[in-house]
Amino acid sequence: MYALGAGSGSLSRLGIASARLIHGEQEFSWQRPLRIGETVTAQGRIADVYQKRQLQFVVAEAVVTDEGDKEVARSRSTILVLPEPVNSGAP
Amino acid sequence: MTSSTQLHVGQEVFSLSQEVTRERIKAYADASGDQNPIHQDDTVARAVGLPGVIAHGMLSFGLLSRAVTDWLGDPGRLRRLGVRFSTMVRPGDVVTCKGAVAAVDEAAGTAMLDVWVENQSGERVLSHGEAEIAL
Repeated sequence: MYALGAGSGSLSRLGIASARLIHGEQEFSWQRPLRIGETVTAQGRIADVYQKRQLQFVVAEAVVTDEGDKEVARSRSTILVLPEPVNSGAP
Repeated sequence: MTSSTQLHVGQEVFSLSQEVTRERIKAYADASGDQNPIHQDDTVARAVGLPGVIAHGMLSFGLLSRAVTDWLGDPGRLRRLGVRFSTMVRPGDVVTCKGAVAAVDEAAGTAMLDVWVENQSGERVLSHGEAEIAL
């Protein structure tokens, strides 16, 4: 779950209001259990961006490695970005 | 869990029902750090076109993951878990996590499960779910 921040968390930091982000798909894989005291590093990247109807889809991947640079876990998230709400000017 | 030789394709291996309350959604927001207001503020949720607050998809994912690892006994045997978030979960919904054996590979020492979460109407809120486990 420490890899999740590489998904919607990063998009919020890019200035997209979190209320416009919907989690569409999620997959985790684990190579081994972690032990107390270990330091792990999650490296996130945007793997794909595509448009379907009015929605934008962002696929974010994160790879988690241990101190020996070995992969311990991986996350792949598909996030839907809702269109910006139209301000009608009504109260 | 049962030993691998007892697993056969189509067998249902777990079914776990729980109510998703507003308190639980708040607890998930605090535990995960996901304070997106669509999960806690009806006004914000409606402004983006939702019927009101909805539970975090990852809350249901967590319940499903727990159902798998409780059945396995050893959480380290869960190798991969993937789902699609198909239907919103609203406060008061009762969700049921289910799993059935899809394939067993004795040589590789793994099995695939079809896993999903359905609501009280039988709609799948988490669908297209797959779990790979070590035998």
